[in-house]
Amino acid sequence: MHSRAPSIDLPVQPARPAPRGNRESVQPIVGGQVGAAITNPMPSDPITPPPLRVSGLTLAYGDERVLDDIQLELPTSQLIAIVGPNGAGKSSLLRSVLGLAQSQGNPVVEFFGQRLTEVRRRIAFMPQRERVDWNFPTRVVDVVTMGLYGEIGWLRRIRGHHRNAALAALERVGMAELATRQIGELSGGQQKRVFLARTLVQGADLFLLDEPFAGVDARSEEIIARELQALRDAGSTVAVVHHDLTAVRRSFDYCVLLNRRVLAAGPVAEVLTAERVADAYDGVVPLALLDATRPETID
Amino acid sequence: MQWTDLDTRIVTIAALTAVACAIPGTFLVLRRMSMLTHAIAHAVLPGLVLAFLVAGTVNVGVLMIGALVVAMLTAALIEGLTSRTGIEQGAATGVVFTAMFALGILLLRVFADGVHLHADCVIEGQLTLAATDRVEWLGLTLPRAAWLLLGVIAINATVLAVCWRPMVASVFDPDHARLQGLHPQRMHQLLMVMTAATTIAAFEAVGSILVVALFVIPAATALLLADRLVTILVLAIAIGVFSAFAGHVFAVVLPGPIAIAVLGDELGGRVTDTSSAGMIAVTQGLVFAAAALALGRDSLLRRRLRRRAVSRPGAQPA
Repeated sequence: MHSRAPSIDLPVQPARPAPRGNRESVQPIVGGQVGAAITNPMPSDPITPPPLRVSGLTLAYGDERVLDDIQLELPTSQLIAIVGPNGAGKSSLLRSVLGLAQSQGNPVVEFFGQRLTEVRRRIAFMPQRERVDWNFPTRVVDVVTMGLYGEIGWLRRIRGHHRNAALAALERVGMAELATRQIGELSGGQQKRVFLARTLVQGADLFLLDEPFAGVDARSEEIIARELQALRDAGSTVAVVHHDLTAVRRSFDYCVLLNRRVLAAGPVAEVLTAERVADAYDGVVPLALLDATRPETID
Repeated sequence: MQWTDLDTRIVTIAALTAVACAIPGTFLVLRRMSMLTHAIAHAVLPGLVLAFLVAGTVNVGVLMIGALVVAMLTAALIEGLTSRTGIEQGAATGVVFTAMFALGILLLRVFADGVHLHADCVIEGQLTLAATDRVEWLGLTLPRAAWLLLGVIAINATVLAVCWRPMVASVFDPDHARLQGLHPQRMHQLLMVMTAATTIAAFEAVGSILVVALFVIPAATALLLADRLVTILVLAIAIGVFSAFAGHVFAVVLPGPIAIAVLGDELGGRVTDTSSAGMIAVTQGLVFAAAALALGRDSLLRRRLRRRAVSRPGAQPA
């Protein structure tokens, strides 16, 4: 199964192939150094490139390095959480791999082994809610239809099946009855669900979602979590910026622990140990998060 | 009032200006960049002066080109200042257009003093003058300004028809538009070019101060009245055209009686009419006030009525 060594260039320690069948696939952080130790527990088929491979990505605002030499490879068909403290660069990571934030140097960013421009339609992105103007005069169904603009193009008419696809996506997130509402009239959780529907309608293979669970009500959270799992089950790769480590432990497969560098990436249970989390969160672990790092308190 | 051929021509030019401005105006208001047109209308002054100096005469074509070049430069400067230095867009706009306008006045004083190029004309516009300067083309005799505006309208409408989807998506969510391959940056530049060209075509008739009214007020009013973009655009055009007509009529009809009522027969009797362009802006302001106070979807009156409906004893709890 482990047919391929993980292709990572480690800044601190050299990359080395994971031993076959080794369950301890996440390397400990050596000597308190922030060293990336990434091993892919389910490496992609050597013929099928991973949905996302990043190498040497650095992003700075002024002198402040938000992302420092990121090395990362996301596994296929997994529900992936990107976690880390505030200012760890989680959103910046998503935005810079998508070319929405200008990174320094010449990083390698490959989606399915290709450049972003060649596989645009296979990638769906959900930005943070605050990034758009919710007073914009448009209806829920029109926003979801925007997810099809790449496919429909500039001039072709929006046809019945486009409209139906948008409505079906709204149905999945429980928003079908609000299809003709103004977007400004929605609650925060409903706005998130509309954005999710816009990514769903695109029918992508890789979903990158920036904080889809931030500030949503319980019902929206449940619906969003269910739909993300359904996407994973259907074979898509879903990477989510997340704050709630308890929820990550409960329902995610894979976790990327980030604090300006990739501190660890691997199966959730192996990444979210008390030691690692404390290290990532600069030694300050919120009480609510501590529970999540203790496996015995779960279930 | 005695409606003459001149009145028809004035209203035609004003209405065409309103239509031309409403198209980029709606998108500028949605993008929260309403004052860009104000900045462009002022910043083009050095461009006009330089074009005049180069051409040696008041050649309208050369002036248009000079103004257009400077208008694009202004938009690019504001954009660059905002993204490079991180200062707020309004501040960048204020810095750029005042400096450019001042430069224009200096150039005018130093090089073009006493020549037929007056700052007043640029600021206030000459609707009546524009209406008398006629050109025959394709068997039609229309004011030259009307031909120019028709051209601008045709271009604006074509751009909008072709780029509607990427334009709308880019204003609402530029990041998403970019990932869909819709080039929001290019859409933004296109809007800047449309704004620059339209501003220049418009201010010959209405002047550099009132042109911002034609861009912004109809669009802002339409936003209060409707909730779908197509409706908003159509309404903005309709409000612009109505104000052009009503404003001119008011400018001819109202000042006389008002002046007599205020100043008495002797002094007031000499007042005949006032600036049509000014009255058009005033009319637009009144239409906006009506929308904000009573007619709009979320007007003060409606809010008051809703609150009363909720607080009325025996009313169903919300």
